[in-house]
Amino acid sequence: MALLRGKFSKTDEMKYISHLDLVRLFHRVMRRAGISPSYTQGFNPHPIISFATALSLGVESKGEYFDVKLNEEIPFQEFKEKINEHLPRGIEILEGKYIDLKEDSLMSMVEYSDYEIALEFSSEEMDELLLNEWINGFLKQETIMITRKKKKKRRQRHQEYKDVDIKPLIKTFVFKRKHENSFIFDTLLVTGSKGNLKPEDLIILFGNYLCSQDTSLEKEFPLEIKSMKIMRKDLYHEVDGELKNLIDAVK
Amino acid sequence: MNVQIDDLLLKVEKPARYLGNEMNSAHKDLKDGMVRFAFAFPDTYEIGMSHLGMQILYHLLNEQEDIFCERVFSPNEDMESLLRENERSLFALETKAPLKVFDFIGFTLQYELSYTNILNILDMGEIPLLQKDRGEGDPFVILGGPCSYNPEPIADFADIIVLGEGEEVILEIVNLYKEMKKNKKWKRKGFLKEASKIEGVYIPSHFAVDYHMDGTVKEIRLIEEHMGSKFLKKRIIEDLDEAYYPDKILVPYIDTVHNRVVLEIFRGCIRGCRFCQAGMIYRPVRERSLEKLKRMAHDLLQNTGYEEISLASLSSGDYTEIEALINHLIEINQQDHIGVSLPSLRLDNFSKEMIEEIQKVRKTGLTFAPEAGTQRLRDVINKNITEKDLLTSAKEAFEMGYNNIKLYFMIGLPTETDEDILGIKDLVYKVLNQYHGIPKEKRAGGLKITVSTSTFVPKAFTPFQWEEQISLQEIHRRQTLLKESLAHRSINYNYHDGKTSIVEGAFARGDRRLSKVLHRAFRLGCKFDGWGDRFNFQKWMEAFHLEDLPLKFYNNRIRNYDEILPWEHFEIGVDKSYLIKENEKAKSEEVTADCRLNCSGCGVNQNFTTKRGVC
Repeated sequence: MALLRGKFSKTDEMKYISHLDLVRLFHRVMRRAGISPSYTQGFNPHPIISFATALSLGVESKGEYFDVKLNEEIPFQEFKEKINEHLPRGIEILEGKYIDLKEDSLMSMVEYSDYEIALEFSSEEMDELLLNEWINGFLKQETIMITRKKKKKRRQRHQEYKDVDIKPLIKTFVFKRKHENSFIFDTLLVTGSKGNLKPEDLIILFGNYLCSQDTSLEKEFPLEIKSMKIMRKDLYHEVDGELKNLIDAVK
Repeated sequence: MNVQIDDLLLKVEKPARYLGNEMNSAHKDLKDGMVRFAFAFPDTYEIGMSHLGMQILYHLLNEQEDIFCERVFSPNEDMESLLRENERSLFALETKAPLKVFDFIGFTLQYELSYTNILNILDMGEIPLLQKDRGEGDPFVILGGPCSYNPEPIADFADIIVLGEGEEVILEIVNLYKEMKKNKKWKRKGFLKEASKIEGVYIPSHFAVDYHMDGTVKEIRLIEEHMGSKFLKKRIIEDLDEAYYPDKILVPYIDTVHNRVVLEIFRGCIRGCRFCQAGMIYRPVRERSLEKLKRMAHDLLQNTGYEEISLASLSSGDYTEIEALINHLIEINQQDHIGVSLPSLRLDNFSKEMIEEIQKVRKTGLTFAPEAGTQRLRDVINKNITEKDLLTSAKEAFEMGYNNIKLYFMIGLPTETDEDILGIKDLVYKVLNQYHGIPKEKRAGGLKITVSTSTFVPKAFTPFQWEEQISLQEIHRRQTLLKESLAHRSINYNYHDGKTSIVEGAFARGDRRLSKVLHRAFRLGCKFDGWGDRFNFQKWMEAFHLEDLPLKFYNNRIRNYDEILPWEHFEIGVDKSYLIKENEKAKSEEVTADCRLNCSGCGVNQNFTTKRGVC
């Protein structure tokens, strides 16, 4: 038995398939490629393959990860070629390596994601300096609250909500550049079991903040976010104060 | 020219329905002279993708270099609203081309309650709904599938209707079209005239129907003599081993109703249940050889990566080499963890060993379909299952640890009385007692028996095609009677809303005048009528009323044997005299043996020749 950790991309049209669809796709692609993973024991055995964290529908990524347990070790290059041959355009295995069977799971390792977010506003005339000011203002707030659904308890009928401060989950949020009509931002967000912030939620909160600032601005304000494209660039684990991606983080 | 949907995909549920790039989907460079065929399934993606016929014809057409077949499904509500709001045409999935650029739009008629969806697809595709309004440059609308054995209620919307199995005739039609298109001066009407000469092709506009004062058909006549034959014979594939079957099928991203490899093991059915349309129209029985099936299973699993395989036929247990086949599937797939699911297993040849074989891989639920509650009524419908069969099988299942059993029945069968309804109750309680008869430590806890009833709808080309369908009031009364008698914590009773059965009934045996009702209902907003939550009975009643066609005329009367039925001009190979004989035998509660035991002389072997069949 061998444990293979791989990194893959999920871009273009493939951003429209859900996490569950992706899992199913991997199972079927392995069969087609003639690669047999190990199976779980029990009544309804399924292939032992796990992913780091689910990507929201509509978000692209160049840094997704999977761990697959194989009955026999085959060279990674061969694995990659065989699988890529059967994957649809938009999903591609990029790199990978065999790791110790006892290595920490992807899910427990993932701590940060960084994203590139491209926003189009309803007004194209937009002062880039002002934009930076707004970001600073947004991040200088004492708290940034979001309303989240509470987990339902057993037999509980009505959904309950709670307010959570997500400010500690935003590590960086910066405006990078303008590309055609889009404004490109970079952000590093806490991801995983110790806290999780989705980039689309960040943008909603930022948008809300902009609305609330509206009256103090003299300039006509681009209230509406017309479109939002998000690309996850990679997933990280912190090793000795340094962020490493989930393959490099393995010794 | 193609339809933009990128900006809509994140606004709809399950956008993967609209991608069109699934595993094994066809993508071609468009060339001059290429025939573009849109295969449309008038229901959601999840249902349409589970349909074997579509999978076969899609790959069959796409194997031809100069034909490009794409798929169309009824968009879900959210996508439909977005397309209409933004004034965008409905498109085919693979290229997103609007429907009007296609040469053919082919619809499969799987159930009567999908007809409004056909109109909706044409409407959203900007194609004139009525055949008479289509002109040069519009696509040809071609219909086929089980409901095309009585296509009259939808005839006004069709250019071409295919009678019978489509694998050969579809290519003959498309090839004829390709040839005619080479001559720039070809005309729509000229093509239809030529196509009418192909066996199995019905051009409804070549026929006119006259009616008596009482609404019954007086005459079905060819408008002009030279337009093909007056009697239309269905097409069949003589040798299934030689027939086209794809070695790969489309694999959806999202979960669908039947998300697995499907092996069609045979066509036709030896049983001859008198209510069953499939059992009559798909005759004669033709099997695929075991060797062929083994090869197909191997290729399909290899080329799809599916983790499950199932067998398709009307009664899989009747396949001559069923045990060898299942043993094979289990043997080769044990290592690959591939599940085997077996639908349509009849009770009498269902063995304990067989269940255990399936269990090795994956535990599946158990379903039995006794169809009627008393032996008398089972004899009437020729469902040759005894109470003993059912109880023995149920007991064996319980002993093996099953605690979840589904039982299917019909209500409203000809000659049914309250005694038969209560017979369902008796039978269900006997199954329950089988469970309680097993010591507690030897059975699984938490017994659940699900009883489902559907309402019997008489169908064309069955021995019951002359019979009356019970009224809505009577459906409700019988359902309530059963519901009250099945009040038990382990028993769960499901039944269909009788209102849908009423509309289904009218269209199953309706005539051409119903095209107007259908059109009217669509304009009133009816669609997705097969979906309980979207079916609007009020609007349907309004449509019937506005067209002055009483539902009762179609459903609630016994037809005479000498009445000209709206589908009288079709030949399915089973003689009318046989259907009459079977109906008479039903009345005297006489059973007919299955085709293997004794040929009952339905006539199909006089009309067709076959290989690896029974006749």
